[in-house]
Parts: sequence; C-alpha cells; structure tokens
Amino acid sequence: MTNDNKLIQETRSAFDDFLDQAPLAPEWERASGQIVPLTRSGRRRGPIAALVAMGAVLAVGIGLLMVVGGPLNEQASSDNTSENTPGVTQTAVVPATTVPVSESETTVAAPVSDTEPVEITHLVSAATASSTLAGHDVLGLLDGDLDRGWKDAGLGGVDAELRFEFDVPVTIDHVVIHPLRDEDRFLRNFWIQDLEVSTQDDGSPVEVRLERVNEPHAVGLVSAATTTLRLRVLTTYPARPVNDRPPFNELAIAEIQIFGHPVDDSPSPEVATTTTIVASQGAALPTTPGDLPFDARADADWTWDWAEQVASIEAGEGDRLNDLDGVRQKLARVQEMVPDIGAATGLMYRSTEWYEDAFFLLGDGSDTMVYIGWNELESTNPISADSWKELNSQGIDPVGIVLPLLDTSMDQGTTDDVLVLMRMTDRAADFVADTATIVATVRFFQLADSYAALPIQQRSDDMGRITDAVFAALDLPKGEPGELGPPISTTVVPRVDIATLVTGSAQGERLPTVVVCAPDHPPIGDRSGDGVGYETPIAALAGFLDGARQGADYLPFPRSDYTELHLPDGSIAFVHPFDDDPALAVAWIAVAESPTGWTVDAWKSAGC
Amino acid sequence: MGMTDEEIYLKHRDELARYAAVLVGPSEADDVVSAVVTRLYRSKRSLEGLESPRPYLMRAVLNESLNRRKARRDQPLTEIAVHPVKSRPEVLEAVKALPAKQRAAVYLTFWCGMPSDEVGELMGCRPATARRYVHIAKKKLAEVLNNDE
Repeated sequence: MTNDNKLIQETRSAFDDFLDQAPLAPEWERASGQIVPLTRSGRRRGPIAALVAMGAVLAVGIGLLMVVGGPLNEQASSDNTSENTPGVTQTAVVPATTVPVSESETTVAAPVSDTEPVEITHLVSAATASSTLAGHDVLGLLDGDLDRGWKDAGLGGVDAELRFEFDVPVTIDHVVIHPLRDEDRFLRNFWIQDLEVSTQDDGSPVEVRLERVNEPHAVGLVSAATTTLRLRVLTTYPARPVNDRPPFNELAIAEIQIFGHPVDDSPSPEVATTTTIVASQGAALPTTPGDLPFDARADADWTWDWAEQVASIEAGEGDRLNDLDGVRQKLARVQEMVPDIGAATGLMYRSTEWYEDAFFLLGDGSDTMVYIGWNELESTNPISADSWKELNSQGIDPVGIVLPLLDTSMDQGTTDDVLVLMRMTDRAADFVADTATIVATVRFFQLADSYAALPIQQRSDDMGRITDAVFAALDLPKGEPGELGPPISTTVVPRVDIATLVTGSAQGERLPTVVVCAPDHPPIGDRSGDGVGYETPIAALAGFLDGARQGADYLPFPRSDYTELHLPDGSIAFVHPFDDDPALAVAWIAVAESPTGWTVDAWKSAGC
Repeated sequence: MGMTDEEIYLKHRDELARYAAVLVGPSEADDVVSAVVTRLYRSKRSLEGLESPRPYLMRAVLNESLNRRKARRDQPLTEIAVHPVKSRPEVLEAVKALPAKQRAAVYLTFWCGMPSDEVGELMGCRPATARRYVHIAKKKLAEVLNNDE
C-alpha cells in the first residue's frame, strides 16, 4: 500500500469512528400542520413556539427570499426606530408578499417566545458607505430619525454598499429598511430594487427585490453569529420628476433597523467593546484607534476584513523580491507620491516571481520593512535573518506579512499578486483611505492581537512550514485572492508614473552604444516602433513604453531618466545613459515626425 | 412538482448529521442540525425555492459548526471513546486536531469520495481551495503516520 493510500485508509477509519457514534438526525413531525424539529429525546427546543407560531406565516407564502412591503403608520415607524425599543417585530416578521399587511395581522403572526428577535441596531459600532452625498451621512441610517437618512454620491445607487460592524457577535434575523417618508421625495430619489444582504457567516448572500413602495421593507436572513452586515444595492428604481420638480441623482434611505440577538455564549476576549460609531466614506474602512474589533471566524486566532487597492506602479521587470534596497526605494517613491502614507507600515508591488514561500515582513515603523526569503533565512543571509532577529530583539510586533499569491516555478517569471496581511490599525485604514495612487493589489487584513507570532516565532527555522501555517490559519489558498469574498471597498486607480520620464536634453553626434549586460545576452533592437503617431516626441516615447508595459513583445525599458538627444539630421533619440557616459546607454528610443505625428521608428536596449 | 421542505430535509438529514458529527463530534451533531433547521424556519426561508438545497444545508451545518467551535475554542473536539475505536488513536487524534474546514474537506474527499468541485460546492469555496485544505491536512496527517513508522 502506498503511503498516500495508507493515509487515506487510516483517515477513513478515523472518520468511521466519528460516524459510528453519530446520532440520528433530528426527527421532524407534523404538529397541527407545522414542521418542527425535535431533539433526540423528542423534547422540543426553545424556538419551537416561534416555529409553531410562524407556521401560519409560512403557510401564507414562503419564498426563497423575504421581502415585505408592509405599511406602517408613521408613529409606529418612528417608535420602532428608537434605539431602546427592542422587539418591535411586527414591523418585520411577516411573510413575503407584495400585499400590504396590516399591523394587527403581522402581530398575530409574529413569534412569541424568549427567542423573539430584538432590535440590535444600537449594537452597531461602525457604519460604512461606499459613497456618501455631503450632508447625508451614513450615520443618519442609525439615528432613529426617519427624517435624517443617507444618500449615495450620485451614482443612482447601483453597487452602493453599506456595511455595519457590531461590537459583539450577533445573529441577525431580519433587517428593516425605511424609505423616505415624504412621497414626493421618495419618488424623486432612486430606490432599491435588487439588494444583496450578507453577513460574514459564509452563508450565501441573500438577494431580495424590493417594491417601489414608500413603506418599510423587511429582509429576512439566516445568520450565524456575525459581526458584520453588508447591504449591496444591485439595481435601483430610477428617480423621476414629480410635479415638474426634477429628480435627484441619488439613492436615498431614511433608516435601517436590525433585529436579532447578541450572541452571549461566545464572547471572544478579542472583541473590543467600543461603541464608537465611525462613519466613513469612499474606500475608508471603519476603524477605531488601534485595532478593530476582532472576530475569529475559523478555528485559528485569525480573522480578516479587507479593502483592496488596485493600482499599477511598475515594479520594474527584473526586480527581485530579495532586493531589499530596491523594495525600500519603491516604498520611498510611493511615500513621496502619497506623503500621508509615510508611516503606513508598508506595501508591495507587482513582483517578480519568487519562491513559493518567500514573503515580506513589514515592521512596525516606516523604515523597518523586512524581507525574508526562504533561502535567505535558511542560509542565514545576513540581511534578512539579521533584520528578522532585529525585529524580534526590539520587541517589534510585525504589522504584516506579504505573501506571493501564486504558486511559482523556479523560472523568473512574474506573478500578478502579492498578499499584504496587515493588522488593521488606524494607520492602515488611513492608508486605504488616502492612497489614491498605489502600487499593486494590496489587501489589508484585520488580524487578531495574537497575530502571526504564533506560527512564526515558534518555527522560525522553517519558512515553508511557517507559510503553510499562515495559510492554514487563514484558510487562505495560495493563488486565489478572490477566495476571500468581496472586499468592503475596492478602488481601482490608474497607473501613475512617479518618476520623471525625460530629465534633460543634449546635442549629440550619433546614437550611443548600448551596453552588453551579459556575454550571452547581446542588446536587441528593431528598426521599427509601434507605428502610433503622437503629438510630441515625449508622448511618442511614453506611448511606446506603455505599449511595452502592456505586454508588447519588447524587452523592458527603463521608465525614467531619459535624455532627449538631438542628432545632426534633426531626429531625436531618447537615451537612458549608462554610468553618465554619453557614449554608452542602457537603451535608446528614436522618434521621428511622420504624417501621423511623432512616432518611434527605432529602438535598442540592453534588455536586462 | 418540487419537494417540500420536509421532504428535502428527510432526504439529506442523515448526510447532515454525519457531517455535523465529523465537524463537532457525535454528541453535538444533532444540536447543530437542529440549530440549522430552527434558524432556517425562524427566518421563514424555504428550501423549496432553492435551486440546490443540499449545498445550502451543508454549508449551514459547516457554519454552525464553526461558530460552535469558536465559542468553545479552548475545548477539544468532543471525545469519542465510549467504545473501542477502529482507528489508531494517534490518527484519530490527528483528525480531531485538524481545523474544522480541513477536516470537512478531508471527510468529504476521503470518506465520501467526492471530487474537489463537489467538495468546494458543499463547503462554499472553490475546488482549488478544497484541494488546498486537503493538501494541508494530508501533510499534517502524514507527519503522524511517518512518526509512527
């Protein structure tokens, strides 16, 4: 028997032992036409009363999703939004229907038991909107005031996202969404049509369709313990003019109430108890000073929330991840570009492929980003190993690690993503919020206080095991960044050059000689360019380089510090000099004026 | 005509109970299944409207199990020692020590014989993720086997 087969057989035997003692599944019985679950002893569970009562509701009409357009009188609505008025479930516990249901009817149908959902809106510790119209802050959704709500920032609400964080784990039974009370205003704003509601319990998101009815709408959920509730608007009803008054551009919601239960049997010691409500806008993450509340979703002491910035500064093909100075230079350039992130721990960029288990450690300060690679540590490379030891000796609690996401080969190709795992400090949140132009796919994670010290410090002699432990602790597969679920905010920003492309000009007699970077690697070139005409010579250069970056079949060119060389025949060549010797160059790119404008007509590069 | 909620439950309940037993231990398995169903009905959500109720129920069992494990993070998985076990104790302990998702993936793969795409569907993750769970778990289990030889 092979080792693999033996392992499988032995594991199956272990599962046999589990299953030999597996109980019978709970029996169900029909009682008065209702379906109720029983324990093994036949004793009905606590929620049975609710289930029985709810049976009448279920009989009316169960849909996959529950959307309610039940009219509420204005006074009742106002009362229900009171922060300290729990359990007003008649506003929500009604079956899916498009027919308005009276309050008395819903009261009859509502479950009556000690597990009846109560309003837990006041347990929200942070609220975030994907965008916010000035003066209509997201906090208006939670303030109990139906006349003060939230509006998105003029995109008609599609893809608008609201996120609510709880300071303790809760189970969410349903959410009530209040539109604007004034009928005219309601019609003149966009309104939710299709809505996705989800929590962090890994369950499938609930998608519901709301009617264009100026009444509270309830959405039922199947929620395990969660500290997060997300509402994402998929489609909207368009705003329309009313009495010759023009429509608005925004989606408007007056109030949101959340009903459920605090999970009182699983208080995590890491859960913060702050009740500060922090409103954020755009890409900002909800945050409190220091670490955010923590919820361990998996077995290990890890969890994450994340935001994503996608940008595209060029890493510089050929950069090596173990080029610590190069990494620092990149960081410095980005910090120069975005001064606010000076203290923001660190970042990574599109990287050169490296060994599967290579990763970075980001120190607790702006200048202690440390790279530790597999080989370096095992071979006690003085740079990385000493840096690592230095971090430990200084008692620095690393704020993050960077992991290449793609399994690699030994070829020095490129990998698209690296994963930045960071403790979600207020600085890191600021980093997300303030970084308009940054470097790669960077994901920020909210980690436990215990963080990575667990696997790393215990097994600092085995980088492979460390990385495996990290991935296992995160339940995170390599190569699959999307596995983490939708980000709470995603900003895709265009590539921004931060270096000066052309730094000077000169007159020259001839084109410089391109250096040879290796005996078996002669320079290459071509007597044709990309054939595209541009208004200026520099634009032609930039366009040519952009084409190279986007996958054109050219070897890499430097992205900065070209000298505009004017030749006797009137042509122009952009030269990236070598060692300040005007006779030598790393690359040159010649441009000429053509009927279509300035175009690259020849180039030559060392190619390395 | 589609199946009723009760019919759907009856069709899958044994599988759910086994799955829960693997995830939280035999003594708590029925509680997990009951909790899932109870919450389902408290929310007035119907299985009948689901295109694939089996993955939904299996994921719900997994989520409920994870939450229970989280709430009892300092406690070991429920003991299984009432009668002599068939497997080697060290292997059983190693399986019990696996994180729940890894244990789920190994169970669905090794014991149920499911392909990774089905495992991924039932766990609510990509097939590659399921394979990753199995891969990591196998390394841990292999250590036990190797140490024993």
